[in-house]
Amino acid sequence: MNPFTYARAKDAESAVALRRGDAGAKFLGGGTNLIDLMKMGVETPTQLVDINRLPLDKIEELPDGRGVRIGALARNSDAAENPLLRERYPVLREAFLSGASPQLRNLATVGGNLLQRTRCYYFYDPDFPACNKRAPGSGCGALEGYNRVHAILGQSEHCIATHPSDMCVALAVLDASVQVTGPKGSRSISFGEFHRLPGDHPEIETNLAPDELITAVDLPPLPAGARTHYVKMRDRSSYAFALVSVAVVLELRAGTIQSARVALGGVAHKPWRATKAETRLQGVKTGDETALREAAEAELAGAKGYQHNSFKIEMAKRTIVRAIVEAAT
Amino acid sequence: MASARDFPEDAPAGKDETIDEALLFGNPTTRRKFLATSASLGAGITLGTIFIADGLDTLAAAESITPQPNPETRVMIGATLKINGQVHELKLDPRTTLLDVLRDRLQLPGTKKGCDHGQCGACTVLQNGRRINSCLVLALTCEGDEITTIEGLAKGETLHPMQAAFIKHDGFQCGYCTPGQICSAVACVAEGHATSDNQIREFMSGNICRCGAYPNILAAIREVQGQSTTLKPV
Amino acid sequence: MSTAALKAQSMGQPLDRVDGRLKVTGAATYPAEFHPAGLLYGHLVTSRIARGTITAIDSAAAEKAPGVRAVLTHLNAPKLPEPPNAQKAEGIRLEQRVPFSDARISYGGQYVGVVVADTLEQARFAADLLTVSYAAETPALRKEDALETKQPAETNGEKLQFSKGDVEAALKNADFTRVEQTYSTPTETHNPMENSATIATWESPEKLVLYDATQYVKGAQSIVARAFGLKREDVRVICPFVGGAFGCKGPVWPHTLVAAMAARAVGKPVRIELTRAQMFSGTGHRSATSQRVALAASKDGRLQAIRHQSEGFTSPVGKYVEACGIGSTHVLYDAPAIEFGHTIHTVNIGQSSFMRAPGECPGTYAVECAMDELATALALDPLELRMLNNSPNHPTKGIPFSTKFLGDCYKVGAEKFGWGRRQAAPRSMKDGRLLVGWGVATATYPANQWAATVWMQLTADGTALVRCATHDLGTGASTAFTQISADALGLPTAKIKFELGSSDYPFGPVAGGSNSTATVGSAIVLAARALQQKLADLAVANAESTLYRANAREVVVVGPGRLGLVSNPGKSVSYADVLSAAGLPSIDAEGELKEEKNAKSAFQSFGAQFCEVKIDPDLPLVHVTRFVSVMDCGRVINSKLGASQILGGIVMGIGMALEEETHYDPRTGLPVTRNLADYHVPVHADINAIDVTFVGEPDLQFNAMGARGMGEIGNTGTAAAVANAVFHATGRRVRDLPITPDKLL
Repeated sequence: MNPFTYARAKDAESAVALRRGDAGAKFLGGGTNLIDLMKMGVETPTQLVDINRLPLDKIEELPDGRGVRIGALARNSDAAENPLLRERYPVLREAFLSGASPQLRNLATVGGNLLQRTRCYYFYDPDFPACNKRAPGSGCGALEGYNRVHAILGQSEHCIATHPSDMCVALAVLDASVQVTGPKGSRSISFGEFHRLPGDHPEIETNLAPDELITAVDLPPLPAGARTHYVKMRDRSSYAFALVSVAVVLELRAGTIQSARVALGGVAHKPWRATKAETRLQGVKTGDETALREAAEAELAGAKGYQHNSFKIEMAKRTIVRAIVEAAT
Repeated sequence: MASARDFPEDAPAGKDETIDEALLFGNPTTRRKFLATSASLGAGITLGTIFIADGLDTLAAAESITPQPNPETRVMIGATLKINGQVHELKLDPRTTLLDVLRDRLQLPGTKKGCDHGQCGACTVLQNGRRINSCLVLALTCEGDEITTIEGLAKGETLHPMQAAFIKHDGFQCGYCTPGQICSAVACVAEGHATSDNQIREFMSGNICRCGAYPNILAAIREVQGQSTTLKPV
Repeated sequence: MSTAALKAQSMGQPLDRVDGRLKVTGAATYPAEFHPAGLLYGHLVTSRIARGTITAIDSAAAEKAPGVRAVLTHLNAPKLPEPPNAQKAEGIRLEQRVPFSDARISYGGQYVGVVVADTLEQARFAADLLTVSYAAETPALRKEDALETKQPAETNGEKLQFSKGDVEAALKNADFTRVEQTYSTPTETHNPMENSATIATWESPEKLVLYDATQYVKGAQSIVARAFGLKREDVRVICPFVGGAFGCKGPVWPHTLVAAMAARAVGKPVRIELTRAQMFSGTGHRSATSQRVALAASKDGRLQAIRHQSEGFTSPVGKYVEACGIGSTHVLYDAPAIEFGHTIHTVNIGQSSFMRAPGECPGTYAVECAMDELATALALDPLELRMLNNSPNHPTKGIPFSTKFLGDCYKVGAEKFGWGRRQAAPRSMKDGRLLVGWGVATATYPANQWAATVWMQLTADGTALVRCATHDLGTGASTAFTQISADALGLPTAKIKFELGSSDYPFGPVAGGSNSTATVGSAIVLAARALQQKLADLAVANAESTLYRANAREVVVVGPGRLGLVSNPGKSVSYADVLSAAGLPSIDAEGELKEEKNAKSAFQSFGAQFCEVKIDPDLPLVHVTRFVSVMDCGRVINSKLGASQILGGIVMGIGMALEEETHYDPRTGLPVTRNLADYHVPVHADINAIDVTFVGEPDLQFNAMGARGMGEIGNTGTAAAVANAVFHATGRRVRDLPITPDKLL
């Protein structure tokens, strides 16, 4: 871990001010990802601005029935147990509780989870020389390497890393928005616009400006009677990253899907909103597994696997079907 | 369950209250301490051309040395940590994790280092009653917190019920994951996440036991939770 | 080996661990937790290539970094001799190369330097600043690219290439049913929760103290003494607790020598604690294996031929053979024709080594899966096939087993598991949507008893202190030895204090090969007898004693802390009275056990493993929902702790079956999954009910306790039982472990 200066902010304004103009500064929240990556030598901030004491950990109802606001510093475990969220957005609780461990969830913040970095082996371990995300221009070690956990959708020749968060997959189907503040004021970023695909710049993972601070995540209300579910496939029963995960929000009428929101985790550089499948699912009976499968096939039609992760294509299709079937029953 | 991170505005009485905007540690305009390091090359002791920096014996001794201009020179920060009810005034390298402070500075090695990356749970301690991985927490961020380690669970000679149950059910073998398992188990029960076998299994999955004592740990937690201590027949 | 049977009073009781309180309060001190004054911190720098040469090292930045005391690399490190791997009494050294001895890189993760600094944070940061340049060569990582391929003749005195009868003819016999398949296991890494660590302190230029996480304090003492040209007694190795080992702390690995080198260089105590990543290359691993197994049986199910050809890997810096054939085909089933062989490929991967049940664990996986396939081919119940081929004789040595209660293991296990309700056809058992599978496999592990010396002191207050340079890796050895000592001295366990984990104590062997209970236990019995003889001599010489002028040879323990006559036990005296009458505050004695070969009997433990899995057919993550294990290990010294040993082996076997695999990057050769997030071991949620039962009788031919070790047998047969259950559930035979969800899609 490289040396850094440590500053403790009391509120959002002082946090932003501390970081302003310092390209080497990072905000420190729960630290479960940042401290880990600093120990690995992947992250090398010269200043840490500790934001843990900012009053941004509330989970509260927005006025006028506009939904719920989750403070960026709400811990994953608190968000998982929050009555408001449990009642209105059960898919989010499912996602939280399937991620990491109780100890890590006690530390990890909602804002930090949005910025969680990939678990690609080649990114995480600087002893591997090639990683365009860690060292732009150095190549991608995973393309021809061991790529079991890697992307099958939306990847580029420069990067096949995946986004590892469970929470973000749920947020993707909840049409969340991310509230941020920075030197130029505050703004709201729709969830679909928050994360980026790797393209030519896998080192840039979100559309957050370097000196902006995430203050909250807003969740609009779900349609009345909406069914939600999160299904996670992994290599052991708990405490493992997703091979494939699926979050769904369904509006049903008499067993027929009126609208579907489907997002995939573990398959792309960002939580993957499965819009092709969503379109196909309209009007499909939830008991019609053939039609469900066809919708999943449509989404995965453009998927590309590599030596060790091609199985994810079939696994993703099955997981989509399972998530819908279980959400509906 | 109340969030322990919701610090009451009026407590703890500490340095936070005296500075309006932010505490700037290591900023040249505020107080700072340096660990001096001499760049002088000493003689190799016995082995030829080995580089030997003629450094200092203890960190404490370093505090009075003239600051070095080298920007990478370490900045030491004063911090107050409360561990098992005892207050410790420390000078810390900001990089120091809570785990390393416990093990190497405070001689409280009951908290174990198994992976140092939040992947095993051996370092689990209680922060204001909540279980956390102490390997991923910078010690400086724990100012004002009540940290409880395995050394702080027993009351004198009387073991915490979870400690006693671990012995009774042989919930460990090598003992290395055990402090983390016990701290985690204490929190698991307190959280209300020990109401069924499967819930215990899920909510204890952040603590790896390579010796494989899991069924015995489960039995210990069930006993403390107040359920039947006999395992279901297979 | 046989001596008079020891009467069991404490033995067999489920005594709580004697070190339990220390472990649950955090008061047990593991080697890295000692804190000698002036302690400095060393951090190892590892190679980023797997094959090639270091061309340059720029250490200027590291040397200038705050707090740095020394940077050692091959450019400035002292040249040490290469102590050989001398095994038993002289220590184990599988990686032969002395660290920093030259610029050659033979595997990814090899140590290329160490940085010593005032604090851990400084050392780690400065280590990142050390710039090492390499001329990389394409690493050999697969058997196709091996640097060398050999078929070694023997390992540890056992033949690695064996043949009896005409295997070829039997395999071609049209009247026989035959199966032949290749089974593979990946590189598995021990991953005890405690990373290896050494603190080295030079008390003078000739005296060295090591706090070392080791399964073999005497071995480390011997090797380090030879490496640094010291007298053996001038190297002290201290290790009161071991945070798990599973074999990886048996050999002396390079970091221990580096710690001593670095401490010498800076003139202060230095601690080197490996990172978890370094545990994947610096302290051994179980070699990947590829095993071709052919079985032929007559229509009645009797085995006629077994052929088992096993391939494994070693490194350019040492020799190790994963002896799958010796661990399985050598002992499991008899047949008129048996053949096994071992082929070892040298590749640029860190040195392979022994990991819990080496040979037996992967070997039983392959052979017990093949037996399952044979049962299917014969349309026989897989348990019945095993019962049919249960032989009282060692198949390749042709001598009887001292005791063998494998038949009871099968029977009791089948009853407990409910095996009789099994429907034979794959995919025929269901629990709702879930496929249910039941599998069985035989477990086996040899009984080893080596050499040890135990020192014992009886004090006039009626307590005894017992010492041996042995180890408790979590096995419960401290507790078992307390119980054996109690019975050997005729005292309650509360009066016994057993001390281990220091090279200051008399010789104890490596805590490996499941030998410790038998070896050290037998030495305890010898020491107790020597001690009692001294007491008897005192008693019969004392004119005041009721035993005055009795024949000392007829004086035996007749009750708690009392000596009396064999012929008239009522005529007795207490130990305390004997000592006080003699005016002695205490009396001590040693018992030395020598290793013996017994050509008349084979000593081997057996067991039966029954597994239930439930699998979602669409999203096929395998859940082991029930496991029943029945073991015959002779006398169980402590029923509670013994069951824990078996349980632990089963959990590790489930991990092997379903989760564990170290992958290597095809280009750099570095381990890719070198952390506990990517190298999966079982977590709580993976493990359900595991029922462990012991059957059989004390093996009194083997030793006075009748006990055979049980540290490893639980890890044998387990993976096969799981894999066989997966086949039964799904109809799919996965022959390459681990059985991850993708392989069942």
